Amino acid sequence: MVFNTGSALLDAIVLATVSKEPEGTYGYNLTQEVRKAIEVSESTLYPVLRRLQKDGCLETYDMEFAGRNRRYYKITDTGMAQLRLYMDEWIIYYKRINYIFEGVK
Amino acid sequence: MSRFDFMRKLEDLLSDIPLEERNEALKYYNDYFDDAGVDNEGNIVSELGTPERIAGIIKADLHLEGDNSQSRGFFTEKGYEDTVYNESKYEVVKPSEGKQEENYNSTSTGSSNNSNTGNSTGTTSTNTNKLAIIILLCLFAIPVGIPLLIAFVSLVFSLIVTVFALLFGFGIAGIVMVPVGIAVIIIGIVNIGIPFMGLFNCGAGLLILGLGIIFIMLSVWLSKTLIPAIIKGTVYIFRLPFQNRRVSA
Repeated sequence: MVFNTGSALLDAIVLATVSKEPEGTYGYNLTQEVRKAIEVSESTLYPVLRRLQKDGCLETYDMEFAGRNRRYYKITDTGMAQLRLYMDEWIIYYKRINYIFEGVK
Repeated sequence: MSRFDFMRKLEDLLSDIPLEERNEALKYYNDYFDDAGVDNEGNIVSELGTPERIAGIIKADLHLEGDNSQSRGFFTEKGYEDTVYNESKYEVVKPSEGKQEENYNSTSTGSSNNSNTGNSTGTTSTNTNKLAIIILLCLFAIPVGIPLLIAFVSLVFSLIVTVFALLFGFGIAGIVMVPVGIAVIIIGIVNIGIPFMGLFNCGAGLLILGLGIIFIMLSVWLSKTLIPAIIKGTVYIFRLPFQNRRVSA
């Protein structure tokens, strides 16, 4: 991709991806989902998840799967509020950019 | 590198971060490998890169968490401005735009930062050791050093005085010899009738005049070349200790 994904946008993408799973999701699945939209390396998301967790946007819990405990990430109310903020900002942002691009021949 | 080696190396590399952080990170990557399946282990390892890189990324983010005021200055000024901007607009919960970009653009910076901090703490401790040794040496050197220093300074001083005395002497001698020579020539010309005295005085007068001119020229030349050289040399000598210090530091 030509365009950089900044820290705020990446946070928003991760929050949005996690929020789509009511029971939360786990690291590997999350990475695969995010990768459908943007190019991130497998090492990118851990620090993001950890930070969002510390900020109270995400919470973790362990659930048994195939004989082991798998760590799940779930969005919190704070996280939802933050995500809505990001999405509002994003709408303003892309409308402005589109406004600039409109009418270019 | 196998998954097992990768995880063990990562665990080693993360041994200097808080236990909670280490367990969290190891749990994440362990789960990641588990969920990717045995078939994908090789791919995951090769895409993650080296354990050093992963550890660097984790630590870089931790350093930022610990001290926000430092993280602002740590990145570019752009990062700092973004922080203020974001806070005022309440766009991002935690400050620092550059945070992720750092991980994104140059993951190697993360690891090199850590190694840098390690190095710098090492050098400061050796620096204090060096300083202690230097102070001890200075203390022991005082009985010998001060007389030596005095001798050295007086030697330099006497050399300078000698040079100046020589210049001064030649100059005075030349200035005196020019009129004396002229006077002796005049005496010779006046007494030219007296067979021996006249010619002898003329010759002696010319000789004195010539020598006087040579002396004046010599002293002028010496003062032109020697005095700047002496000043330069003295400055150089007094700068020597500081230059050495700069090199060793």
